[in-house]
Amino acid sequence: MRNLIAATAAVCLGLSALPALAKDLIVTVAKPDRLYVIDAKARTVETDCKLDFNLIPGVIAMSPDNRIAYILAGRWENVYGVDLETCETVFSAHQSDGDIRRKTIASLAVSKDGKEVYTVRNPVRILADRYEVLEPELAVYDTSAGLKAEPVRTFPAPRRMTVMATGRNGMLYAAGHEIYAIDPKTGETTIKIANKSWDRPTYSGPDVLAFWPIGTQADEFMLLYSAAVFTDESQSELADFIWGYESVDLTTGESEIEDFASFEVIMFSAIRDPNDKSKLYGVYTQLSKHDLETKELVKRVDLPHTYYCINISSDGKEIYVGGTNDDIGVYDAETLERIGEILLPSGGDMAAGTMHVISTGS
Amino acid sequence: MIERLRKGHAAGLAGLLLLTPIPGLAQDGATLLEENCAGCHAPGENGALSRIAGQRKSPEGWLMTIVRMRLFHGMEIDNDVQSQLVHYLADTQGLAPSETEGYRYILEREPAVVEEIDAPLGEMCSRCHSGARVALQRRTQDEWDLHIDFHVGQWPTLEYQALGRDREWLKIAREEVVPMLAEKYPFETEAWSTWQSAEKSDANGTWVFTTRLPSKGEAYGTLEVSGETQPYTVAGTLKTANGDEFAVSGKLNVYTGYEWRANIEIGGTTYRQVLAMSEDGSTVSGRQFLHAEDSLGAAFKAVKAGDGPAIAGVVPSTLAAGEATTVQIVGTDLSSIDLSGAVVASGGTANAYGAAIELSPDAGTDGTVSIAAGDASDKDGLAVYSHIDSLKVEPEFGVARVGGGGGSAGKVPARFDAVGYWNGPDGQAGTEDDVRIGIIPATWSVAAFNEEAEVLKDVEHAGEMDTSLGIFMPAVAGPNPERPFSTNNAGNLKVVATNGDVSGEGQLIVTVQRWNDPPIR
Amino acid sequence: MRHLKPLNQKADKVVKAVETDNMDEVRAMQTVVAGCASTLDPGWEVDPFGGVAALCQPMEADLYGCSDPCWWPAQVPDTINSYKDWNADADNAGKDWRSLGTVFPSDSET
Repeated sequence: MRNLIAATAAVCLGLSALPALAKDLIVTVAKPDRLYVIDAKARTVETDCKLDFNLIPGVIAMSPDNRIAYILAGRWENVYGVDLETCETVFSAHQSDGDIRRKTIASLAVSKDGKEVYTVRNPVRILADRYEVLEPELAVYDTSAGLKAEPVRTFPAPRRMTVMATGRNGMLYAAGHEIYAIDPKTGETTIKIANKSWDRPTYSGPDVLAFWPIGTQADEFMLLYSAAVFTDESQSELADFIWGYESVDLTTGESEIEDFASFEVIMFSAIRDPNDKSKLYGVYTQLSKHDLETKELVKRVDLPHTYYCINISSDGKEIYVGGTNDDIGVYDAETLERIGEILLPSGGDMAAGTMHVISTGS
Repeated sequence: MIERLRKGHAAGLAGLLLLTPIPGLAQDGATLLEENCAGCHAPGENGALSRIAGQRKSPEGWLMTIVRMRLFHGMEIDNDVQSQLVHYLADTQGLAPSETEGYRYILEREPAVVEEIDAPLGEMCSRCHSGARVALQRRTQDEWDLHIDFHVGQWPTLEYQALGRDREWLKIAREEVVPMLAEKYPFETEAWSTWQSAEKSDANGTWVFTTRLPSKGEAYGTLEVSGETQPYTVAGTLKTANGDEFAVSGKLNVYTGYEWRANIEIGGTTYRQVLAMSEDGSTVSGRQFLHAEDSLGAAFKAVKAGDGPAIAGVVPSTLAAGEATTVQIVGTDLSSIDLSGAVVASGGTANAYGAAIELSPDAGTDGTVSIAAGDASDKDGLAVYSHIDSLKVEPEFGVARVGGGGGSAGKVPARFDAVGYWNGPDGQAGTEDDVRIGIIPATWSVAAFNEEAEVLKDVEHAGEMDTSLGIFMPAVAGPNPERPFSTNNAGNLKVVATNGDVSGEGQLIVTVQRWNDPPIR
Repeated sequence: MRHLKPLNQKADKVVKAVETDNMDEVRAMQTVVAGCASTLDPGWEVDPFGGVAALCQPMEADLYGCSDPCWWPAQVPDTINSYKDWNADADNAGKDWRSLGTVFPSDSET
């Protein structure tokens, strides 16, 4: 289950045992079967967990105490909770059963008390000669349920749900056609931020490509949208194509939605500086830094290749770009210079896997 | 080029082996279907197998269905049984000739057709695959409905991709698209019931054809089709416009009474023919292409000998004025030829490919020539030109793909034609009254399509344009560390053809490999 | 005679604008040939700007981010359901792309 490095790391690291040792750790996955915990500043791999399950896609949600990485895997069907100290799988939920196949398209979140894991799963009945598409459901799992967890509650959910995050108020925020707020106790679902139904008569509908859990560092659930803007409500003449961000504050529950730039380059994911939320960084084949107050592009640099996933250090000084290949690029948040990189030892691609930054100590 | 020919040869031999003899047939098909499919597809009250009974499609459509059962659902089936089932299903639940009209390009693997599929099918279906893939199927409403569940079940993120995530895809699919498809492409049609009861023509006999070979230009020849069982044997001769002669041999399958699929060898290179016989069996036409590089090919047309005079075409089809040339009128039973239009002549010498006639149009001759022989005619089949007013590159927009380099996907080259025009009565180029001369010789080059392509040096990296053939051979696949972002040898190029002082432009996207390249894209 | 197709910026209203031919300024519109994907987020054959420079760079960086989430399943074998082990023995697409197969079996032809 573990290799030597992992064992050593587990002994040395003592995630909660050494609260004074404040540092950022990057948690990510790589093919074929690895979960890595990386000392961000030192650029070194601290823990290398060999996993015994298919890692596709490797979307991660962290437990609030940062001890357990919940990983969507098994070709989008199963959720595994892996203890970062021991590399042991302490939780698993195999969502498909019998003739029902259930895929979760990145909809994975953990409650702020660490007691529940949420997925939205999309069931399909597989019969001998046909499929029958069933309606999605929000599944609530008890994190203490061990290795054969079954949902303790399920509720109907909207279709095409992607990423989710939990608020301190107990609400679950989920990105679908709208940004929804779901009460996981009752399943009650309301629109938190209007997307498909937004009231912007001079705009096309927004397009939101949301596969990366973004904003945890800044304690928010934040997504980018792009849209066409027309000169007037007749929508006959195009004025611009724009980027905007929409965000739910995970502490206060307040939301905001605002345009910030013209659509000049593609961005797959973005992050805000936890200490200065006017600074937004977006990644794709370029790394862009935007000032949300002045709506100015502060700086943009080309990257060595495309990256899907972006994150930021707790002090806001370093930007991490990952996903796609087997390297994590480290960039200076001020100059956007590449100041380091971390090559994942397995040499396998992160592909669609995600990349979290967690802080140890205080 | 040598490497390409070798590759074509090797892949072609493999292709020929696929056309294995089919014993028995027809009534055995029902038994084979029962034996191989009924395990999952339970018979209904009328004995018809579930799902299968409510669908009709092309031979390639049925092949893809069976292959999917193998790859996705673990069906085990011998290759010869698979071939027999494709024959049986295409014959009993195929498409009438008229039901494939307008969409044959996808069967023919035409590399550069830009489809115009109306909403909602454009966004709902053909953002992933061709619209023709949909239009070449006929299903009951229930089957179209189950087709939606199959799509969402098999490819669950289709609701999440661009043009999927911006709408309630499943709701639209079920409520709008299914009824539309059931009406547009219904299982039961007059066309099919008429075709089913129609007497089918025999492919056996002698055919006289015209085509173009990618690197040899205009050509003509004969095909002799023989044999009692499929695949039939094909033998013949091909001659190029400049007189080279090659032996032709191969195998032919005919599906649904008209769908002609042959793998033939011409001078050591294997070609594939995807053709359709006319309903009366007098002509066969479609596209012939390199088996190993299906983007390189051209229209193919043949007429059948034995039913009186018929013309397949003229080689060469364009003629520079002021030069003496032997023109081959390609056809059958052409005893006396009459030419009218820009050149008036009659006579000719009958030969195995129709008739040859010596022409030396005066310098300064410009215009089209129509050919007649008995009942047969070919209007404007030949163009004679002393000058060209404008030139268009066809296709206007093409796609090539990087490949090779040790990977499983070969390079996909792109081929362009330079088509000459006269201005027509208004004296203006680019207007509706322009007169098409035909394909003319040109000098070819590529340039950066835009500033971005310039900066990324696409011309340098993306591949090579053959200056005389108009064939663009893309560069090798894989990340290129010498390029920014280690990007692939992709590119966005302007394709330029020049003849004298006129030139024309097209666009070529050199892009990445397809890892999934089924017979219907 | 323009063959504009809505790209990733799609949206019905944009489509309507295309129909009324007011989209000269729209950067995210493009023509693709039959069988190429017009799902341009950012696209398999062409990007939302009608070229190739805004595709993922290089393609191999993106390949498993397409196969694993079943993006462009008509062009790239999806590992979500259809070709589960397509990339199982090629962990690094940039280095191992040569060992990836094309998936339609060569033993099958009409």
